[in-house]
Amino acid sequence: MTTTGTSLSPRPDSQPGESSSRASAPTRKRPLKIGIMLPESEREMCGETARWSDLLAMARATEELGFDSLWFADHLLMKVPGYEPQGAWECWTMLAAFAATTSRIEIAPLVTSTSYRNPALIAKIAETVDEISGGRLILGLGSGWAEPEYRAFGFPFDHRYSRFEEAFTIIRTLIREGRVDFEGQFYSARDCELRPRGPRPGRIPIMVGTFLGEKMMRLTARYADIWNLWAQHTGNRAATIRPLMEKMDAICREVGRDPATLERTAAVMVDFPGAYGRPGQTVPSLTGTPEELAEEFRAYARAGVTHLQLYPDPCTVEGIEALAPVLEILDRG
Amino acid sequence: MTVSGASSSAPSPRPLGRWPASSRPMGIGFIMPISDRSAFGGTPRFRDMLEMTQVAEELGYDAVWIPDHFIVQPEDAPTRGVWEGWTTVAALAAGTSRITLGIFVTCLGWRHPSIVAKMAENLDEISDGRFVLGVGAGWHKPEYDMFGFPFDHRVARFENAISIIAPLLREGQADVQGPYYSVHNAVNLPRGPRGAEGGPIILVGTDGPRMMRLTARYADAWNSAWHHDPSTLKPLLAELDEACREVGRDPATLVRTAGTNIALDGYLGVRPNPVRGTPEQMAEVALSFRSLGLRHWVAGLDPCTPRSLEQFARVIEIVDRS
Repeated sequence: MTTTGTSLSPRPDSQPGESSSRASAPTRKRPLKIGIMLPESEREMCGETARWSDLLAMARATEELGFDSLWFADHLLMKVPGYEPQGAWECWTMLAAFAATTSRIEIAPLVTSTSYRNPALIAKIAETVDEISGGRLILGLGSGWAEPEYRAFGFPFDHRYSRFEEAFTIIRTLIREGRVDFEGQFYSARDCELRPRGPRPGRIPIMVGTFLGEKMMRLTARYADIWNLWAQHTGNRAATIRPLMEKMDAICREVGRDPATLERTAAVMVDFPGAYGRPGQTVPSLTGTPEELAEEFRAYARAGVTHLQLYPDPCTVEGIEALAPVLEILDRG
Repeated sequence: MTVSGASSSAPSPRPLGRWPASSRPMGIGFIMPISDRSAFGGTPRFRDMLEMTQVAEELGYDAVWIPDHFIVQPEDAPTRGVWEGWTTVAALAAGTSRITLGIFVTCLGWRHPSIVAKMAENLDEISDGRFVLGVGAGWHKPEYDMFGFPFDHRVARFENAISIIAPLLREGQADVQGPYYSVHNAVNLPRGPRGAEGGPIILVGTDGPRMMRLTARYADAWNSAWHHDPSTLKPLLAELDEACREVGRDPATLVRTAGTNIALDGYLGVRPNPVRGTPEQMAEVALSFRSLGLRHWVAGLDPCTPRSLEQFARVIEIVDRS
């Protein structure tokens, strides 16, 4: 990051992107990190609701098969028109349990909505999960979007950008500097301190997930270590992601950040024989032989993506195992 | 306060007064040191907390209780930080198989009640039905100010929150319009292993009369801490009986629990007003609480380490023989 103003500098003691690659750097010739999204919602596991025992088996398979990371969405109740509502397991207690039952892979919310919990509390939760995991958390943040669950559970849906901007200020300042004194329109944290500190004080990587809105992308460029794009917004293909990367590069330059210091991640939906279908999916899934999938993932890397979140269907241990040959091909180079 | 909604207009139809099974008439648990300069003798790391929980499970303790605080700011000493309680419980649940795990107690002013209910259900799933949801109204003003929560109307906020949490756990849904929190046909899905029997057990920690009436109305169990001997607990038990009668609940259906601080070898002075003595003398104190009909007793051990858990296990053995 090449800004002149110290207020823009995310961390005085390290470079953006440094800490996130420390936990599980791609080994061998893998051109980018590859993680797995686990099924948080009802009936998401081929019509079945994943129990903790299923999720634990999937988390362990993810680690044992050599993937780099594990991702869990933060929802309360998904309502897709035309489908039965799907309740979801609570994100952060699940991540804490994954942290205690794995030892190598990175663990992350994809992404946590800053609307559902007090921002200083989110920082405290993140620090604690980083401690439990021994320094393997990626703190994925977003402004939230699923209006029906806001309504059902009584959270305000208005001013989401402004609320996010305030929450993000409190969260990143606490995570990076350990203290904050902030009074906003929606949130406050006065003379607030974050302690105890986990194994990486000030260095938990912070990722922001955006839907290509310019204001959110600008905040990401100024303050985040990592940017995330959901499959729907990339077209779920490497070929369509390059213009989005160039847009972010331009925004980075506008705010005075070296675009190369912002890590880029993208979620990718991959289908295998026996796929069950995802409610509300608007872009075609990726399919193909392991060689074809490996080539597609290399194309993401060439476009500047540093980390993929694969969302397999079937969303089962078998679905995760079906991706393992792709890893082997990538690791061979 | 006015709370409208079908789910909250009448006490839950599901039977209240559930409690984890124990071979003991009065189960015995311990409270986890989770802060800086704690009874652990410093800041416990997660691996320390996991080790203590696993040691306690092996030694036959019935429960581990995890506090919920942001900071502890004594008037005459520096601020102590605290690990986040709920994620700590989740991780400890994943690393154990028999011991009961409870949040003790979570302040309902700090998280939206729907999130509290979702987390409680989640912990019941991860622990396979070993979670107890301890709730309270909070009391420590510095942490409200620091983390940006309103300190006013704490009991009214608590009432609004528990009127949402209880039906979400007991019946799986809630529709409540309240002054502080509202939910609109909110559902608690997926359910954990005890969804059909009303989800996690709800315990309220309080000594206040309004809170006691809410305990009588909504809770399976009640806790009061910290009592050096039964003399300070007895009047509260009588008040609790009265609160039950006021809301039309059979007092016998409300599980009673209490906590006592215990000084062991190398007492650090972190936990005030502790019971001291030989294992036999400490067992006598435990038995005096048991004679009041308590179903569970929380030991506030000072120091609290794997070694002191072993030391206190001797007291539990004596109580078991009595």
